[in-house]
Parts: sequence; C-alpha cells; structure tokens
Amino acid sequence: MAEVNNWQLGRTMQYPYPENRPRRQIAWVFDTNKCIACQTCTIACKSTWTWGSGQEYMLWNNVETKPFGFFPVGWDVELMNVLGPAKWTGGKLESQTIFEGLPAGERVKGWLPAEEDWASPNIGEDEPVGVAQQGSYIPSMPHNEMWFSYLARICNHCTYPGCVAACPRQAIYKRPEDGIVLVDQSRCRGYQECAQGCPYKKVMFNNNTRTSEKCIACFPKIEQGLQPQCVTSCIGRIRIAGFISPPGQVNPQNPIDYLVKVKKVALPLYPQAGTEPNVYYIPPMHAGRDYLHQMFGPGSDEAIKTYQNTKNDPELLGLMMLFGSTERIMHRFRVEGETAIGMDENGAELVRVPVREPSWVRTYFDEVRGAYNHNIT
Amino acid sequence: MTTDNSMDRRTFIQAAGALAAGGALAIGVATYVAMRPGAADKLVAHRHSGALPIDNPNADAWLDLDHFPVTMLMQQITTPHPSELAVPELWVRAMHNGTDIAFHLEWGDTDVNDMDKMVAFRDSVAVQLPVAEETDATAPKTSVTMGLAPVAAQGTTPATPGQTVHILHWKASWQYDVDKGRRTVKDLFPNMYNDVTPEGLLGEANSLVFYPGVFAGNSMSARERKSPIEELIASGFGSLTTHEKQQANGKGVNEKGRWRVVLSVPMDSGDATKAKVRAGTSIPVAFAAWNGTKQNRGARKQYANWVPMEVEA
Repeated sequence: MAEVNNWQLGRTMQYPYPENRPRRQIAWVFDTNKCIACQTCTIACKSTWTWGSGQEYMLWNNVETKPFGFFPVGWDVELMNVLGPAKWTGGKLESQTIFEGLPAGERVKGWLPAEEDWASPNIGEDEPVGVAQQGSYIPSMPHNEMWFSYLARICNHCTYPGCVAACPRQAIYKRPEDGIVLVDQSRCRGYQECAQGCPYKKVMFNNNTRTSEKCIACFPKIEQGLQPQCVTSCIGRIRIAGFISPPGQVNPQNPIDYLVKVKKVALPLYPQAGTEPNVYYIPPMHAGRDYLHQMFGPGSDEAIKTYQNTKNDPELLGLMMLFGSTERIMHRFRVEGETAIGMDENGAELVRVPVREPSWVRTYFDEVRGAYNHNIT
Repeated sequence: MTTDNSMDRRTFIQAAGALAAGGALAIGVATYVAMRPGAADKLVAHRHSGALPIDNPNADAWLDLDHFPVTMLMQQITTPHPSELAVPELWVRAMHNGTDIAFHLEWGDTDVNDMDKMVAFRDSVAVQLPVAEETDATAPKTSVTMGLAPVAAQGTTPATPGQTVHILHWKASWQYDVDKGRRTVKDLFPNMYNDVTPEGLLGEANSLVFYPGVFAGNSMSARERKSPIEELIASGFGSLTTHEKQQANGKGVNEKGRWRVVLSVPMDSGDATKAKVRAGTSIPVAFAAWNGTKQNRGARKQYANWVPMEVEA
C-alpha cells in the first residue's frame, strides 16, 4: 500500500499504487438542480456504446431519483453499509475509505450486486421522502420534510479508481493523457473484481464477451476536443466537461476549476469512498441537508448558498449559461458585461451567449385576439 | 406446521422416503468411489501405448490407475484470496505415450457451475509446469506462485529473476461451449430483450467493434471454441497471458457430484516458451482449482505446491 494525497479528503490515504496523476484529468460538472430526469443522456450513451448483445442491462450513464432510486438497486445504501457514516472534522475525513482497514484477503472493500439488482434501472422514480398531508405546502428551502431529487451518474474516472485497485492483473488503467479509466479488453479475464470494487457500481460484466466494460468517457470525442455524448445531448444543459487542474493549482478562467475550486459550488459524489471522483455535482438545493452532507461531504451547505446567490454573481451566472452551449471542450471562459464567452485551448472563441435570456411579460388579456395569456418560462 | 411432537403419517412417509433416497445416493457414491484402486504414494505419468483417452475421463484406462491425492491450500499469498477452502483435495492421475502427456484430475463438487455471466463464476482446474528444465523435481528453482520472482528487500533487485510457467487451464464454461455450443444472452437470461443488435443492422463484419472483447481477440470472448483447455504462460501474479499457440485438449465431466477432467498437451511443442516433458525424467507439477459456487475466480482459488512427477521411460 502506498500513501497518496486525496485533496477531497483533506488528508493522505492508503492506495495499492503510488500517486501518479495523469498529465491532465478529464472532469465533469453536473447541475442537479436543472436535471429533469428525461434520460436523454442515458439513451445517447446507450445508443452509442452499449447496444450490443451482452450489454442489454448496461447503462454506463443513468439518472436515478434520490433517495429511493438506484442503479443497481441499493448501490449507495450498500456503500454506506460498507463505509459506515462519514466522519468529517472541518474538511478532513476521519473515517476510513474503501482502501483502508481492509478485511483479510481483500484489495478493496467492495460487494457484488445481485443479478436482479440490475433489472430495475428506473426504480423509485419520482418517489419523494415524506408524505403530503391535507393542506401541506412547502414554504421554503430546503424541503426537509418532503423532497426528491435527480442524480445523473456516469463513471467518475476517479484519480484513485476502486476498479483499478481491485483488478489483480492490472487490466484496467488510467490514461496518462487525459485520466480516462479503461478496461483493457485484451487482458480482462472476466473476474468481476472491478465490478465488486467500484463503489459507484459503474463497471459491468458483458454477458456475451465475458469481459467487464465501463464508460469510456467517449474518448474518441475527447481526443478530438469534443465533449462526451451525455454532455452534448443534455437538453437541460446541466452538464459541462473539461479538464481540472491538479491539486494545488487553480486557473480561475478554466470553467471546471472555477466551479470546483474557486466557487466550490460543485462537489464530488460520496468523496468518503476515497477514490477522488472527477464528476462534480452542484447539490440539489431543495433536498434534505443531512442527506446531502452524506452524499457530497461537508461543503454542501456552502455550495448551495453560493448557488442560490448565482443571480447576483455575473461571472458564475455567465458560466452557468455556457453549459451546453457548444459541443467543443471549453478550456477558458470570460464574462463581458451581458455576454459570456467560451474559448478553446488556444484562446480562440468557441461560443458567446447572453448572461440573461431576454424575457417578456405578456398582458393577462390579449385584446386583439380576445384571449387570455399564460406566462410560462 | 405440526403443533405437537408426534410425527404424522405424511411426515413419516416423507422422512422415510428422503432417508431411503439419501441412503441409496450415499451407497451409489461410495460404490462409485470405492470401485477404483487405492491411493498412490507418488505421482507417476504412466507410459501408455497408443492414443491417450483424452475424450473420456471415465475410461477404464484412467480409473484403473491409482490416484495420487494432492492436498490443496487456500491461496493466501496474494490478494484477493478466498475466505474458505472450497476444494480440499485433488486426485491426480497421469499418462503419456511419448508424444502427448495427459493429466486426469478428480475432485468433489456437487454443484456444477458452467456459466460465465454476471455475478456467476465457473468451476475450473489447472496444471502448472515450469518452462525451464528443472534438474531437481523435489526442489524446483521456479516459484510455485506462477513463477513470481522471490521477494527482494525494498529498493534491491531480486537475486533470481521471475521465471516462466506453462499453465493448462480447463474451464467448465468452455467445456459447455465445446459440448453444447456457446450460450447466448437469451440462454442465460430468457427474458432479456434487445430490439436491435449491431449485427442485425450493420452485418457481422461491421458489428465486431461493438463486441470489444471479440474485437480485441480475447480468448474469453472467442466465438468458436474447439478445446475446453486454454494454454497460458505467466511469470508472476497478474501476468497470466494466453499463449499464442494453443495445442491443449481434453474433457471434463461431472457425475455423481465429482468432476473428472482430462488435460492433454504435447510433451514437446517445439516452442521454447512452453514446458518440455521428457520420458524417463522427473518433473515438478503444480495444481489449482476453483469452485464457482464459492465465487472462486482468479486468485480466489485453491492451489497445491510443486509435486514431483515421474515420467515413465
């Protein structure tokens, strides 16, 4: 076991391999507040990569309702069972990760979901916590008494992947050029140790080829400077993909750095697992806060406060408007007055969008047509 | 559910029936096991004239040989390892005809696992031979741990580099592939639904890219299977690699709760990366076994230390 630095935990931790960060790391930010669980991302991924026989049950991308939706069933409940409640002191994790305090003979604290756990990808859809009583109403945020929220999930292309740690024959690797985690299809022998070791359950066994497969981050697109299918297909424009700077470095012009490191509005999912996941979430502001603390760590209250103030923060607002505005990977952005501008690696302009969409309020009664108007967004 | 302690008529009949059936089964298994000669005190590859009976693990030519009992150990040298010993003993028989050598391995397993699918693991067994010629079969220089180099102090190079081992790996799922044809997803999951497949839309040739294991030439994914045995080489944990020249063959059957598996390979393949077996010598042989019910796979296995085997002249 090596001692490695995990910035999301505020401490070092045990990992089977020494720290070896890629030359650059692909990362995503998902705004859960804007997700409507339409599953367009799920279908975009499915129809691109996993429509072969043997992949029927696979959803490298899925959207689940929290807290009662999961794919596979109960994955994060199991993770909580394995880890116990996360204990944080300030920004430092006091409890153990999936790589620490291992049972005899194991490389990772893991588990294999049962076959049937993969058979209900949309279980728990739209099921809220709590029960609406006669006359109930929700006066303010958060909705601690009654809420549900959507969680879109892909492979986290972790810095310290559970799958990489679990594979006894190094058949899974992290690409040095962009940090994408891939299963070597010529070396995999189908042991399913990776499926057992991934805390997010994002490695899946192909029942036809008898090897394990996972989200490949649409690497053929990334190699061409394009964002993955799940990002570019998102009709709610909740996603952005780019490259995150290594720990200790911040480029405030980089959209991912700005959201994760400058504004700290986007947080890793279950960071206590210790894999340093590279998908960052803007937490759902209406959801139960205790739940969010467990799911996104100690920064969730601050992140929501920052997010709720977006309307008064032109730079953050401008960047939020750039989500989903271009297929190309945006390396830099800037806001000039009422315009947000996204740029490529060389500083060339990719796209410009208005910071505030123009809006019109229509009169209640249209006298010309003799009809009543609805004002909808 | 009975409410008093007396056994009613129906329960008595059921119990008597179960006892009778169990007794008959026990007698059957005992007879099946006891019909054969006893245990040998050393492992010998007996000279056999003519073709080796590699297609029939139940052939008299095999069962007339004394079996050599090999005690299996739970693999605990590297991670991951199993949490219990699932195959405590292998019975080994061997014969050769000067051209090919065959091993006959037998062990108890009442629950056949012959599928490769999600959250399911196959039964399998393996024979390991050192590639380098060993002068003393009782003290081989090649490590039994898949040729792993001896552990060196941190920052130093091991005195002896890792050596290569030649492995014959029989898999129950591959046996099924050979005997009955490869299971489709529809065979594994009758209710699984796929509205359009890449081959249906693009044709076989253009759809291979959607079957990455097949496209990459992975032996696990091979669509045509001629032998249930895979030949591999390794030089340390995690280095197991399919040999590019596949020559092994054999057959495994499970009857009355026991696997009997024959694994055969040429004694001299003419390939320097494979083991060479000479008649009239003694060579070290090692074994491994996996029980699918116990989720054995990879390093979660039982293994045996090197056993010297006399190869009859």
